[in-house]
Amino acid sequence: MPFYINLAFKNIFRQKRRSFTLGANFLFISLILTLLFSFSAGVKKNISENIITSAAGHLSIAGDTVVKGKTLPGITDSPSINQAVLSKWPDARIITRYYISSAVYYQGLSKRVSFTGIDSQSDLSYRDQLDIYDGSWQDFVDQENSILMPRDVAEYFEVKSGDEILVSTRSRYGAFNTANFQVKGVYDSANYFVQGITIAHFGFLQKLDLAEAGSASNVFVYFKDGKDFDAKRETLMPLLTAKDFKVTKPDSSGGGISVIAAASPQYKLVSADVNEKRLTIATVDEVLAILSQILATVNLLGVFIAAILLFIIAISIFINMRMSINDRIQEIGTLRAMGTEKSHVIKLFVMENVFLSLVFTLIGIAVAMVVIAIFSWAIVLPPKGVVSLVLNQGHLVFDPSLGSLLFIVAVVCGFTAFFSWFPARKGGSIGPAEALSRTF
Amino acid sequence: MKKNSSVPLRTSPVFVALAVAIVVVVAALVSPLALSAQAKTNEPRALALIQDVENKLNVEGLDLTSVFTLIQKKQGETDRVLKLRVFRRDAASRFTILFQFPDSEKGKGYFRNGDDLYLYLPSTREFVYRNRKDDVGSTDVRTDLFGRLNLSSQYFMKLAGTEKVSKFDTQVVQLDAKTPDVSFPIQKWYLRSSDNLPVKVENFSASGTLLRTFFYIDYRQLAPGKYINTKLMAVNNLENNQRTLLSSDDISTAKIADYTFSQAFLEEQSR
Repeated sequence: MPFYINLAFKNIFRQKRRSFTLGANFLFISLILTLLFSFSAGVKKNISENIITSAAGHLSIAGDTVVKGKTLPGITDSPSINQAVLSKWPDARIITRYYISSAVYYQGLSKRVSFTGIDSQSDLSYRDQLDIYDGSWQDFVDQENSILMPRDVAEYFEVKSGDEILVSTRSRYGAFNTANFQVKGVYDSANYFVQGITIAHFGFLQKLDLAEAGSASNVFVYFKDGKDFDAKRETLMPLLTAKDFKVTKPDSSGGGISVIAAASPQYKLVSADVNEKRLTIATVDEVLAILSQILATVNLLGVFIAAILLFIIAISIFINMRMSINDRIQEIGTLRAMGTEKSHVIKLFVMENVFLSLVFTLIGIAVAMVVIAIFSWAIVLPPKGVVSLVLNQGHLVFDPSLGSLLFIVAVVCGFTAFFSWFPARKGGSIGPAEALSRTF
Repeated sequence: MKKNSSVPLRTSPVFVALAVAIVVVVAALVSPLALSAQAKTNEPRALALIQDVENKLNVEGLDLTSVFTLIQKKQGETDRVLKLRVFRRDAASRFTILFQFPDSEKGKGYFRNGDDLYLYLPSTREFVYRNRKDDVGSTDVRTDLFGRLNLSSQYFMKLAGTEKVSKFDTQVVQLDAKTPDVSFPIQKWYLRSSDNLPVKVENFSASGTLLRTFFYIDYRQLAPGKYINTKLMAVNNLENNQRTLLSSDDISTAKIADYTFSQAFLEEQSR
């Protein structure tokens, strides 16, 4: 090992006050960056998991049907989709959902409520995400017209398990239909994507919507290996085309979310002789594309703040180095007189700063880990509304990765090395005679 | 096909019993279908009554201009007033509706051409394609109330007795939708015995829940055998005390310029 590395390491705390002042900057910046990157990765992971377990599949399929030029919302002939998927991936898991948004009436009160119809025998993804505090999952399963209601809606209507509500909906064809639903459970959920929906039975919603057997709002496909969704979609599309579906991908990178969104779609007019079964297939990455863009922006903002901090640190490094070189000119002269090469003197000073930044960056990361641990285990926040997007079981979500930590260390140390180089070069350029003459 | 007639046919009692059983089972299975098929046909008398209503309320030989005032009353809320200018040409199955009041709605409008209904939004200067069953300004009054009645082609009709509505003796006609492409799959029309004009209409959901009731309070004769409803009350049977009162003024049967029945007219009027 070159001598200057050893020496540089020993010199880190030679001028304690100066080292701690500069080190505090490294600590702060690494703390901020670690928290920011961990939080943004945690939010992405949390939302991805929540959305996958409640509102999207690895492949999410939505569609509509054009009959004699009239566009009817929803997929028809979903069994054909299941057949196509299973013919290629026999171990894939497929769930179908039915959505309606309807007016609910109860004892003089009314409100528009979103219903999600599930097959309670095969679609158990909601079961483990609900904290049913009034009623039970089994009560819901046992009765065809039963529903599980979120706390907010139940509190609005002041209903409890066993109460019956009237639902009036405009069916997919335009005709009004009504039905009585029995509340069989009131729940809380930490999953943001479950909080607002009233869960009903798939078949009952289908009938309420006057839809034919085989109709569905969404088909979600989950693959065992959980990867290569783009390639799998490419494989699936011709299989569905062979079953008379007209299959497309989402329009743009942000279009994926519309495949699972319950918002009212706007249809283009088509001529009366058109009859089509149309499907749009989005991968989970496309569904999460908007989220990724938002998080990338947040990260970019963090990096921008970090860049400002680094600039301030650059000035500190520069001033520190100039002062340090002036203070240690005698040492430079002695080293040079002993035959130390210019480049070694430069490296000595650069390495001193790099080691300093490394030590304090690691301390900063350690402090960030303590903060993350406190927020992840000790502090519990109520998982309500949008806040629940960043909460897992009431705890803020962080997902620090080794890659991001190494990136932070590399950036801070690299930056320090770069900005230490220039004043160090000036110090190294001083000849031994000049250095010693300045001292004596 | 050639039959072998040399072998005498002997009918086993078991075979006869089986045949009778099959006939009974088939009859039992078919009879509800037959009844159901019977229910899905028009009773001639009911059809004639509804066609007469259509003849009276569809003003095919005339253009019609009028101003409708809608007052929506909701429990616990202040009354909401809308004023609409309606241009109607039943012969071409067209109408144009312009929102005139309140100021927040001014410039909005509907244009209907046959089954196609467009809502014009001046804020974004775009036409939104709407279902012909759209509610006007979120009231209980639907846009198809302003156009041509087309009940006899959309529904099967049957007589459902007589009833007294207010002071009027009425003949009740039940309408069952031929397809679910109508707002209300079941309707009951209460037709005044004296002149066969509707005084009350009840709208039901597909499962038979009463959703809305329309009371036709007053009519004005436009021409011999042609009428327009000038006062109406729509009651929302699901919402407590929610109703919309509708009255029609400034009625004119003067010829309307063809241009009025176009999207361009709505755009122009919003400027």
